[in-house]
Amino acid sequence: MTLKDRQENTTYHSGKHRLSYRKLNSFLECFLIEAEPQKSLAYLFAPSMNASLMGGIWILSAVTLIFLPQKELHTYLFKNEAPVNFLIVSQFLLFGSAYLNMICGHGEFILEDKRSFNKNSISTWEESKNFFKYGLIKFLLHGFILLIPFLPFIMISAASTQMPWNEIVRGMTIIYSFSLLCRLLGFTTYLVWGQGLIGYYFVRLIVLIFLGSSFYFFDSINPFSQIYGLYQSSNEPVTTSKDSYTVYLSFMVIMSLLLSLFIQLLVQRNLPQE
Amino acid sequence: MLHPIQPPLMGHLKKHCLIFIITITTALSSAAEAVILMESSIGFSDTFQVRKWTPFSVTLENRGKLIYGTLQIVVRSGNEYKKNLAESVYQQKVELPANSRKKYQFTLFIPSSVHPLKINLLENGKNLREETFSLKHHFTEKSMVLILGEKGNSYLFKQPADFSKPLSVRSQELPESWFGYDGVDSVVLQDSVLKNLNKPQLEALAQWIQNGGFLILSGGINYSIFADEKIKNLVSIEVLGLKRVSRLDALQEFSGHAFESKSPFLILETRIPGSQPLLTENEIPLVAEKTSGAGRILFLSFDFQSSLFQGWSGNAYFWDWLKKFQPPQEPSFIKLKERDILHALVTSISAEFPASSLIFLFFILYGLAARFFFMKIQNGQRQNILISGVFGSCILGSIIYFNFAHLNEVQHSRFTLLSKHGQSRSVHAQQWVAVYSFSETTDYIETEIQPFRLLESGYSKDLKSEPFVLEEENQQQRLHLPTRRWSHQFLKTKSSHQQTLDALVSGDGENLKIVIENQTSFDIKNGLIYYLKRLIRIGTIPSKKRKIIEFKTNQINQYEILKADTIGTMASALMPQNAHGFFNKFQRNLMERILDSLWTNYSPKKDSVLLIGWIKPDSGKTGKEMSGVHLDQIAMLEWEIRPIPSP
Repeated sequence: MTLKDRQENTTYHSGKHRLSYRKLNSFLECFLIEAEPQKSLAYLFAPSMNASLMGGIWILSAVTLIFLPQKELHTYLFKNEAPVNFLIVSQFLLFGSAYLNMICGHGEFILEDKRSFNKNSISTWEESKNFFKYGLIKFLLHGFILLIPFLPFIMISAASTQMPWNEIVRGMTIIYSFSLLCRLLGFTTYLVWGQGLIGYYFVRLIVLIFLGSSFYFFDSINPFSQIYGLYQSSNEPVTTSKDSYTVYLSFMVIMSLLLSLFIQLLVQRNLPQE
Repeated sequence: MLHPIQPPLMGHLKKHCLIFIITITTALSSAAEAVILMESSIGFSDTFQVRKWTPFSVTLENRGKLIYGTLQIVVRSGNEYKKNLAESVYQQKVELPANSRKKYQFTLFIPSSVHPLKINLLENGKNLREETFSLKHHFTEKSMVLILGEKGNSYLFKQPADFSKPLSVRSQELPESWFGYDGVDSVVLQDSVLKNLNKPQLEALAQWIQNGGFLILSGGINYSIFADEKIKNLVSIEVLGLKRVSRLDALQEFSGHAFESKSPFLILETRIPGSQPLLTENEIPLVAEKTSGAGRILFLSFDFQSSLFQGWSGNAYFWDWLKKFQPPQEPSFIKLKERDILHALVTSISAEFPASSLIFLFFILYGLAARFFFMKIQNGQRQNILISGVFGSCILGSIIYFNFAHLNEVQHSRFTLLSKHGQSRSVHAQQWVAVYSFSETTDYIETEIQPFRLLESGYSKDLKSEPFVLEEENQQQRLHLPTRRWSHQFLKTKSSHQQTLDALVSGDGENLKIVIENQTSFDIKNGLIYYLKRLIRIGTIPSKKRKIIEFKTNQINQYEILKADTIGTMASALMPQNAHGFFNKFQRNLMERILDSLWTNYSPKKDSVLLIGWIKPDSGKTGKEMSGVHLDQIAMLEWEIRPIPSP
């Protein structure tokens, strides 16, 4: 059953909200629930995906508990030091979310037999549709949804550290944008090399090189440095912190757009000529 | 035929034009600078005492256009090697019409004479004039005695062991804020000078006396000034007549022989309500003492600057005798260490981290809910409302919890030490304010003009701190205190209040009776009496009520004696260890230090008792705060109650 068939056979609700419910339902089925999960690059409700999320929840629970402030609040005030809770939790989340999105983009969650390494065969919706109309939207949505289960850890660690809302949003934006970039990188690698070992190692290497070189040469675009910058401002005012955040965000947006364009070019080769 | 200008000539022309433009620009900029003239003076006769508040005046002369700006005085303290440099900025708005001259008065706290003062006149962020004022040749370590009279220098205190510095001062130098007298030991004032003082100066002088100042006022032939209403606010003196004498036997004790004069010596016959005569001559008070708040006024019925009196051999001994009547400079009985107070303020903060056990339980619940949620999804049961509800509620709950657990950006804790002497209505108050900040912001505190100063805390890291700004406008003061995340700062101020607290202590040798009348609007909680080295708990003295404490003196032994090795156990017994809330935590954290200071610094007297009690003031009564700032307050009353002899 194709997606279109499924849409047409959807059961309608009665009443004046019929049209909006239909649209919402089709939207959910198109991007999230998916009629043919085996054709999804990273099916949201795949067992392996759920296992990864559960693993992330248990790990972050342990990390949050371990790094909860052990001393009394006044001790930190006395020393003009902020608890490191939020810093540690958000760094762990950054790493986990980026890795998860990277392997999602690289197709390591594809439900079909992974032994089929034929990169010339089109196996996913993301490869067969206009990337800006489908793939990119799906990536944006998935990236957002994959962060939701980890919100309690961010909230509890932020409460301990007395982070204001704007800095929490800034932190989440840093994590989200880097995760999206990793996903796009993963998908690009998948389109070029498929699910082969070359692509497997290449995407990991490229992310590591980016993180290492940006840390040493231009830490404004390094997401771990950006997260650290949120903590650092509690002890010594980083006068350029807002500027570096703008630089970081601009870099992520530009790189994401460039990668999206490249992906669209790659995908366009596979689209049927009209 | 015109020939084109030769290149070498062209070069010379350009060079001369450039020189001309530079000259004109320099002249114009010099002219702009010369528009404002600045003249500064510090303290009294250009002398000030370090680590005290001192008056500082800046006279601006504007020879240019109208200026609306800000006049700033930057006071630096600290040490570059210790990396604890700090700046305090005192500023006032200035309005200088064209071709005008105005004097601006400041009262500055100068911690050290090492760094010069920086004076800036700013308009729209632009520095119109900048000057430095060196402090090196102006400071003294001694407290000052100000002498104001028609004649110039008159050294009154000739004893070499004297620790004060006498200064002959003009009336214009007297400050307009009471704490400008911080470095002043006493003021000796001739009556003729009073007419030169303006209303703010007289008010400041009166308030300084109320807060523990010592004024020696002398009357002479210009006694008509005492009828002036503005002088009556300072001291009410009724002059009954003028007497001419040639001999004063009352002064014999100072020189071994009577004061004799060939020319007539004038003395005033006066009546001062509420005063006590200290020295009389034929029932005419030569020296009268009047208590005013925490301070004292001595009135001399003669002109101290008359040549007859100045030439008298007992002069120096007379002045030394007068000094004995100076009110105690250290208002506190217990003399708590500032470090202990600040430590107690920070350790008693009411904010706490969330309990880790609760967080652990929450994570267990959340993990299980997530586990079941994903299981149901995999089994195709996506519409399991219960599991989805629990899972979603946990996420939503964490966001709601964050909003509740999130504290105000800035929090204040305030401790006031109220010291009361005997039956005096006046209570001397010293106040410490701790400002805690969890974000990078600027805290604002608006109060009436008080000597707020930023303490150099030994607890903070050696970070370069932003300047603390004190702005005065229309008899109000606004403090700008930049803060960092997870930082603390301490402020200190002092003042005096009138409190309706009365007490009687009476005894007949066998029984002791203490009656305390609390007519204030506050309860005095956890009261303690310290008598003959023993601590007696008296509980709460409710507001608008009276409390009677009676016991037999031979039963005093039932109360534990305060000793060095029992301080810890007594402190634990007085305050429970599991105290909650700022009010109780602060008492618990400071109690041991109070008992220690009591044992070390206070000598109990047989004829007086020391009452210690705790007050929870209402928010906002001691100053206007920014809305949304959480404020914890506590005050401690120490009151030395002296007995009235039983009939």
